[in-house]
Amino acid sequence: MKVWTPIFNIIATVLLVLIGIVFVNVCRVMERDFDQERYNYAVQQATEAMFRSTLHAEDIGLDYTDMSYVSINASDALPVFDRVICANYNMSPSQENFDAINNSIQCCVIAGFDGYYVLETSKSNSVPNNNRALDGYEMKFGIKNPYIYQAYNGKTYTLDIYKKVYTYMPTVAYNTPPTMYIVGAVYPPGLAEEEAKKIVGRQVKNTIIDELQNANNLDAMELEKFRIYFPDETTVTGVNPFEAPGIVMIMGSSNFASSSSISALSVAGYKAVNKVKVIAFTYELPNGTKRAYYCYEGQMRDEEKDAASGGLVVGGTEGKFHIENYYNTIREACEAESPGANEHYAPYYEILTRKITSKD
Amino acid sequence: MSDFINKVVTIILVFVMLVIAPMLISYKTEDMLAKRQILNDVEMFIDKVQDTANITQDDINKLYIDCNSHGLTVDVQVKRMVATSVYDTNEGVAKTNYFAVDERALLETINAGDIIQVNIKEITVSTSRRATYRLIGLDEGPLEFSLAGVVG
Repeated sequence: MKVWTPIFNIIATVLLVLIGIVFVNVCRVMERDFDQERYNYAVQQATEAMFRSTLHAEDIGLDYTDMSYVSINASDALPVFDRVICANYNMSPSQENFDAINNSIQCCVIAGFDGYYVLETSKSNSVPNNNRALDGYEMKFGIKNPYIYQAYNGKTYTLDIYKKVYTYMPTVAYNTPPTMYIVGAVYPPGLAEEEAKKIVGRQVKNTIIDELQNANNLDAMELEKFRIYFPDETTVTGVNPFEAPGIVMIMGSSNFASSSSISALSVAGYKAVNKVKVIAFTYELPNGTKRAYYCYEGQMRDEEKDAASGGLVVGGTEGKFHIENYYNTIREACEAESPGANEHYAPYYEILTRKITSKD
Repeated sequence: MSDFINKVVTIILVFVMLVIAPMLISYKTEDMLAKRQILNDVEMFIDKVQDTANITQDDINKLYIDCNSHGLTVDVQVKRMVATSVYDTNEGVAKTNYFAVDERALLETINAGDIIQVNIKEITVSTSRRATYRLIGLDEGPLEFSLAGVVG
């Protein structure tokens, strides 16, 4: 009987060791979850800040300023990204910290309507070269690469998917300089609009995959482990393809984000979309009084607008709604007074329930 | 004599296994969960400030109460970094600089492009955690982290 006590002691010790191991693992998992979530959030915020700083609307030189033509200027983008990551980890905004953050960037692509920028390591004049391997280089966005479409007739075109123009360089002989041939507002022969978007998405996707495979911190074997997939069009489960203008940022393991290195990638992506404005319009009743209403852009059909608002005339009858103003929110529209009807704009219930169709 | 030692060791082991270990484990897991929940609360706060572009006293009170409701006692500091553009004559380009303000009145309206940074620092550490930190080295010490986002 005396032997049971030592046996019990041994079993208890073994059990205690097991409990200890499980406990340490649970702590490690929760720690990693916390660090990974924080890292993801930081990368998302920094990418959004970087994207906002690169966007601005461009005046394409026609009679009106087209606020839908979004152009991308990537020259000052990276310091904004670095600065927000530093704010997230309470690091000081010094050049060394910025370089440490940039070393963790696996791939970053910013795409505009007519071309895309890729983040590359390039020689720099401002980083001193102390004869170490990584000195003298910094991460910068390269030149804008155009979107290229290879047509069935063997010709190569470059596309602008907003202005819908394309350029084509016919080369006659190897020693004659190429001449640019720009055709306006139409796609090259054999190219539909949906296909153009897919071509753009596919080209950006191939660039991203190419960059990931050549990145200095990640080799091809690890890439297979991550199973990255970029769809060409929106999948049934709701994964969106890459659409211009947009940004994709992929950050890998870093040594500032946690006490132990995280071996997962952090992906953030944003896309610029047209803002849906609120249309404020008046409707003249048969007895001559005018009523003021509002609805969202894209809900009112063209044949319902009158000729002065740019509506279509269908079957000889003009539309009845006269557009007076555009507002950003329905609250602003409701607080404003219509000059034509002398009352505040009210919601037009029938149109407000319609689906918003986008202009393109 | 050895029998007596065996009995003492047995009793100590029983006590540790049935009482101390589960208590430590549950305290530690609760603390880690609390850390994760505080992170969630701060993320929601920054998301809200991003869209509304102003911070009222109610917002800060709510953040304070939410962060402290998970079992840890933390101090919350909200800082706003105002974005400015300065022309660098050496390089000939405009650079973006930030300067930090944290007085209550200056957090009311925030420009687009400013960075909002929330610093969380744990004020008091519970005795069990301090014990695990000092003796075993298991914990990381008092909780301290920041999170930032851009408004606009």
